[in-house]
Amino acid sequence: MLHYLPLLLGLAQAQEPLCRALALEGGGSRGAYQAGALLGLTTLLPGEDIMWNVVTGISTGALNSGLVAQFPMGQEVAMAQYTAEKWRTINSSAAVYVNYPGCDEACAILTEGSMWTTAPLRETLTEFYVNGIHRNITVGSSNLDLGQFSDFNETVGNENLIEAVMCSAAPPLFFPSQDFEGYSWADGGCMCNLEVFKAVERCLDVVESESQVIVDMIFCQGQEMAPKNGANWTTYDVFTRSKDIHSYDNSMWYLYTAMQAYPDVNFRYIIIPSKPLAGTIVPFDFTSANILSEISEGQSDAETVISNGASPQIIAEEWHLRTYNKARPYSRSR
Amino acid sequence: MQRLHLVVLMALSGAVAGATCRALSLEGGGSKGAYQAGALVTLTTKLPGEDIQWNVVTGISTGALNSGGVSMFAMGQEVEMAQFLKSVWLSLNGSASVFENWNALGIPYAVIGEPSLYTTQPLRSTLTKLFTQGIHRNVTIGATNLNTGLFGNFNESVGSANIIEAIMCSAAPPFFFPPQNFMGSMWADGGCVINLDVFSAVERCLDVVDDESDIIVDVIYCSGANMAPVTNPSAMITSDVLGRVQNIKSYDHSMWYMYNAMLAYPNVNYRYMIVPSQPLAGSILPLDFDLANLQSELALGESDAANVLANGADPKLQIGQWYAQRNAHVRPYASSS
Repeated sequence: MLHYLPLLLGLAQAQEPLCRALALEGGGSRGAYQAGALLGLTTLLPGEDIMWNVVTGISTGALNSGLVAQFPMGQEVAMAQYTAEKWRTINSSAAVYVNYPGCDEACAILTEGSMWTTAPLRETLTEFYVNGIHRNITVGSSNLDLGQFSDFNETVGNENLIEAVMCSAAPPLFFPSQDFEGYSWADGGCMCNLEVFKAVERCLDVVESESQVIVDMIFCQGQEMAPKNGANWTTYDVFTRSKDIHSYDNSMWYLYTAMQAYPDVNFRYIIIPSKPLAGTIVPFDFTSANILSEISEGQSDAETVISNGASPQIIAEEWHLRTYNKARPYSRSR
Repeated sequence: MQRLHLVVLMALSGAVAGATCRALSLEGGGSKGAYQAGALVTLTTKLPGEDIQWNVVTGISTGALNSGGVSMFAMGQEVEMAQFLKSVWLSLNGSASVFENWNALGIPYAVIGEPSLYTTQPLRSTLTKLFTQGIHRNVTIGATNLNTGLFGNFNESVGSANIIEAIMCSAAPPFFFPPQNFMGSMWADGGCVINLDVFSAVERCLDVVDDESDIIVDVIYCSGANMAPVTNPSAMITSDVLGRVQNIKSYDHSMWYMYNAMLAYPNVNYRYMIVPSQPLAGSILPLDFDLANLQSELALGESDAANVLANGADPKLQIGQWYAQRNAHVRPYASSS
């Protein structure tokens, strides 16, 4: 009990002049990329720069947020090592999902709520989350009953952290929705795949002004996708490709909108896959080879961003102009 | 010369006296498109002719299908247009008019062997049979380019022969309907990225008039905040979960796009916003093309539009309330600037 006290006091009394937040996007097995990026950040940046007060995540980003939350502020190097180590223990999809007993994919989509059951993921998370919650955390999920996006935070307690992450990491079609706290939940990314708003808001509970807030973001999906030509698309390819497109677009929208809402926040690092990640189009490639390759991509992308990355403002502006190039920029109409 | 140019421009834009440009924007939502046809019947019946002379219509997915129907009629023929759309929806005879299994092996085969659960060849046949009048109004249809990963628009320049292909691209929800190969790319449903193209509606009007304040935008949704309660959500089968998620996401995204459009174009007159006031009948998955369901959606569209005309809230107020409610935990923009 006693060792919580300094942390709580630190947060409540805002002794730190700055509050740092980390926001992690959703993206299935590409969460390994984020583990790599965290290795890069925590290796290259001085200790104070990576003392994130709060971590927010969606789906696989929620899973990683749970890992980040296992370590208190100040232990970021150990946290990143632990996170990468845990990803390396995953060596096949069996650690995450399996077929329903006696029911293959085609059978499952007609009789069950999803293609696969994620009972193995719950087991895996039980092995991951052994330290308890030692950092502020927010994970987002879609409430299927109310039709609303909702957040869970550290108040759920370590035992329920697993359930909260299961709710956040439940992409429709592939993984089943989850029952928790009296509601049914599907993947947070159905509505919002990058919780930048909450990252800022939670920091504003700690510091007085936006200018004291620093936000770092790690994506799972970039604009550039693995080429897929020809007509031989499968249902899952189409579904996943459109999900990736939506995810990138949606996350950039939220980032852009957060920048409008909180103009004085320091959006510091934005780490986005610089090239299409290896693995299948459907991001449920939990083979060792793929996970190791994603970790290494994340690490090298983080190094590149730290040494000569564009500012998140520029990236978001360029995206906005490119995507909505027909629409006049906001400034012109004001 | 300059004068002649002006006359030509006016003729092209269809701008009538008063230099107002009206745009209609239609959301995506599968079989709920019938609701939009109902709403259009009421708008065109109750409003004076000039008020419903939409210069341009923009649509996504089923809204693109309806936009195609709207574009078959020139400005000034809105009453006929709405009756035509209603007849189109009432002519659908179950899902067989829209989609069918790829072959006798059904869904278990399709998931593995095809790019979607169903083939939409029947939809192409239906559209080919019904949309025969050619394009007579500006139209913008949105779809998602699976190759580039970008949202793209098609407009009347694709020509009458290709408008059906553009609609097929826009109305291709992944998993259920196959992506379409058109103009060298593979396209999936516009709603994957944007399910209500308010931005294009305004932008196309800015080609016609100079000032935002001369633009009127009307919007008809398919999704609403009020969804049919699911008594036992954890017992939903996969396609129900997808249908539910689609509705939740669609409403949220479309409200976001309205909100952002209002920020981007603050002086536009957002006139009518017609949103389903109650859960639409039919299955959770909005691919319920049974006649009884379509009739009930048409009826709700008609009565919702009548209510909006009689005592509807200002769309800016509605969007403001939505934003405040959704982001109750987030400080409003105003306090941070």
